[in-house]
Amino acid sequence: MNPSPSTMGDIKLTYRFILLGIFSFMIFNLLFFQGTYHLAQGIYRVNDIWVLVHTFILGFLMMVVMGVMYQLIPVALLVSIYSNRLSKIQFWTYAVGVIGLLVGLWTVNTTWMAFFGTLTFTGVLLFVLNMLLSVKKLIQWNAMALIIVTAIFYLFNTVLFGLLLVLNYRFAWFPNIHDQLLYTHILFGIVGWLSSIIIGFSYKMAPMFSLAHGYSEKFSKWIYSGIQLGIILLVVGIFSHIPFFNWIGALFIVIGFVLFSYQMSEIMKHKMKSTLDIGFQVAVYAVYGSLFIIGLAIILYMFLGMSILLPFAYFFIMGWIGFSILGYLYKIVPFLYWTDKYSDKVGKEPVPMLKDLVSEKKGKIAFSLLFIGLIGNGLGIGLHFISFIWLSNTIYTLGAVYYGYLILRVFKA
Amino acid sequence: MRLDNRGLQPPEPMQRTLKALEEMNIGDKLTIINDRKPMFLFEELEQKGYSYEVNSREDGAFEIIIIKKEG
Repeated sequence: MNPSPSTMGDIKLTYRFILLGIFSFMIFNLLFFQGTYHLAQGIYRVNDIWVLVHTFILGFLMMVVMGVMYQLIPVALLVSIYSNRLSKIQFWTYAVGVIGLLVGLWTVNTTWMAFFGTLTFTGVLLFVLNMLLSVKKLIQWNAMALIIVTAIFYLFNTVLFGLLLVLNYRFAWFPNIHDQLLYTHILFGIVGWLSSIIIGFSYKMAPMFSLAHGYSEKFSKWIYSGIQLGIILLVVGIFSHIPFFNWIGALFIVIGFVLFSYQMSEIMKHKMKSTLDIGFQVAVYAVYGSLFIIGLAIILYMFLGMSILLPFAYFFIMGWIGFSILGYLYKIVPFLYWTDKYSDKVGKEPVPMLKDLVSEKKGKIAFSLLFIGLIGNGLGIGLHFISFIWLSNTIYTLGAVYYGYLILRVFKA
Repeated sequence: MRLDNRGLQPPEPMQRTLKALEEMNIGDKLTIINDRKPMFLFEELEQKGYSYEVNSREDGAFEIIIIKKEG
């Protein structure tokens, strides 16, 4: 039942995913300066903003999440990865697809978009297959498997809708529902896939990283159902143009997030670890932050209407999702590297401890810069203040470069 | 005390161990058998005044002997 190291995910491949992810994160920061003009104007349906968003999500977040999932799925579900060979093919297909797609979006070359969009889709499809065939080996189905499979289902649909969007640009197959496809693509990607996979893995990682036991998990069903029901109702609302469904759908998702924050605070109340590592702390704050962002958005919406959409989207993606991933990654990379290098030696000979691989103090500096930059960028976008965004994104970029450097340094230990 | 955590999904092995650790007195010995090495536990054990020893078993699992030290 216990996967031996050979049936675990290929660790070198995971490193490759992470390195390319960090590289994309750096490129994203440069592109952000270029996108400042449009962002400050509140314009987001233009090619440089698509490139920006997809460099962050496809280039950074997805790379990191896929790479890490090849390692965490065997640990979390006690199954082995279906095929490490398939993982490798998947990596290259996806990487080439994303790079080509970004170039295609940048140059608004619809042929490139269609071709490399298809390749990106194929890369994700291979990941989805590899994951589903791994989970299929589960002897006993459980809540965690359900959460992961649901999130993967939305991942598949996100890229499917994304592919339909780029093909629609090239061939104009369904010009009448282009907007609906776009909104569904965003909803599936942000809530159905990314938010859900973070929430799902948090059930495993939060207690592990904080050494918590004896807390209640009574709301986990409600968190899952709330978000699922919310997504379905929103899709109905998007396609039927009946605002009632949008409101009630959004309400269910908000309930899911409120309960998840409560769940996280429950785990924190029962933690045994006296001081949490900075990366994990950031991931916990990102959860509470998500509630703050949603609450603030609801209040501001009453006064300002849809003009809050862009800064809200920025804070939701870069704050909640971005900081969750940045935080967990800061904790997971040393763990993976340490397991890879020293796990055979621990308890037999002196080995460095996990905490020796990455600096807490330097991590705090990196995360502080990123956080100041995040707040500044969001405010700048909301207030249409271009020079302010330049300044705050400079701070964000400094934090990002320092963060990237600290992650890469783990591999030198 | 002896705890067999094999076949359990994380974080259960860790949580069972934590519970057992809380019930230990100075000098007590706890043996746990895990599918995986409890990486995150090792960090905390030394700080909290426990010593530990890791042995590989023939079935691929690990036996970890934890002793609560004085002070």
